[in-house]
Amino acid sequence: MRKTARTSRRLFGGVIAVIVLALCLCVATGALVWASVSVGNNIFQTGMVDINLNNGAPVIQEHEFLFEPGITVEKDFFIENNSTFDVYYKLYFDNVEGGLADVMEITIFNGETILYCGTAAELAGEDMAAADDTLLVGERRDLRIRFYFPHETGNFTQGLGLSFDLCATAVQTKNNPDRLFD
Amino acid sequence: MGTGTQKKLKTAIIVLTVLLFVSLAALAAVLIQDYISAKYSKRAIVPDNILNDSTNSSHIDHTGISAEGSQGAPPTAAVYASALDGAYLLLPGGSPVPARDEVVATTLTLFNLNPGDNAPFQVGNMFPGDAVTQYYRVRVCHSQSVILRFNADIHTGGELLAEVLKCRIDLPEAGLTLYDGLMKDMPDALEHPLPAEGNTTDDVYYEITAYLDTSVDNAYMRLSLTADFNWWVEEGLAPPHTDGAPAVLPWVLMAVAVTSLILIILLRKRLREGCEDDA
Repeated sequence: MRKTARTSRRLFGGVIAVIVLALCLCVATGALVWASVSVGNNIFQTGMVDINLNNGAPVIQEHEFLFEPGITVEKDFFIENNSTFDVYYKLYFDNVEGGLADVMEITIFNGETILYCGTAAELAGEDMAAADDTLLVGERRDLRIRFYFPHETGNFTQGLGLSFDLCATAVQTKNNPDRLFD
Repeated sequence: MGTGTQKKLKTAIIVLTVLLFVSLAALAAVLIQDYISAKYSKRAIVPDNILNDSTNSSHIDHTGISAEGSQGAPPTAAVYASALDGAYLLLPGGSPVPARDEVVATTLTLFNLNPGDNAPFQVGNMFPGDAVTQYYRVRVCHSQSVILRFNADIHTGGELLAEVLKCRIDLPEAGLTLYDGLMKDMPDALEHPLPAEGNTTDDVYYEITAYLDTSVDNAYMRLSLTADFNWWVEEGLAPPHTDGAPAVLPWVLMAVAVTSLILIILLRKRLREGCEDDA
């Protein structure tokens, strides 16, 4: 009885040993014939387009000036390229409200060069053309905006106002010779 | 019956043990050889070799090494090796071939034939419309037909960029495009069969282009993707996942070796006990 139990144990152990040895043999043989090479850590990073328009501050404050026919007001502001590549940019007005939207003549200058000119209503919308120049990486461009209340406007403009958001949008110059903003 | 079965089991154990030892010994030899090759075979000059001027770069017979140079082969040939390579003879105007007469097992190496080959992508500041190409020359020494497989193992964190980053895998010398599509959709293995009759060395030139479509929008700015490119040859085995983790293979092999050793000691003890019982 005792001998039979020992024999069974031996048999069981032998079978287990055969299985484990066969598995080990498979792994070792597999490792022997398995060939591989790797090129690790291929890195791809995308760039970024980011611009700073006057630190988000308005170019003209409410009640800062009392506009009368013939008055001209000029204010400075800036646009800065915080992108990782040169950009094209364009300026436009959004949320234009008030009766002076079709009256006030607005001109935006880069130095002595006129970038945009028209009434607030005409300068509204993202369909505006891009500025002629480009902003290099990290470049800050000081611009000037002029508001002119024409002489020839009649009394109907009395008590009217104008509010707007001055906006800028930019797009990378890379792979973009047609200055597409979409 | 019990004694007969025991004898068969003993025989099987002995045979398996011997085979396992042979396999482990061969494996150790291969690993040691690779290590020594990588450590010492940076560059050497072997003078006065006369070589066949072969222009067949994709299928090279080793017997060509000893043939005469009849088409203006120079009197010397340089043996080059990268950190991953063994030593190779460089044919003038052709492909390098291993400076060994025999191919014992299938081996894979990255061979630097042209400057800049086999370098990992380090692409920053990608914008829509960008395309960057790198070349990889994979040398396969094999004695039977094999399938060379490739995949890109994307590390964790690169999933978002993988949604838009595209990849084209070309074999320009074969005029094949293995894949052209999003990184995230790349199959687990891009296969390229390499036929062979006898010992053969194949150089497979991979042209890998990573590109961003012009339609990619602002949601994918300032993203990063890291991937490992893997080539391997073996049926049914998954590619190695290197994702920043240490290589698993050496640990598996060590475990196998230790397990085998323990088993053999136990079996020896048991066999001895069995002999004493029989006596």
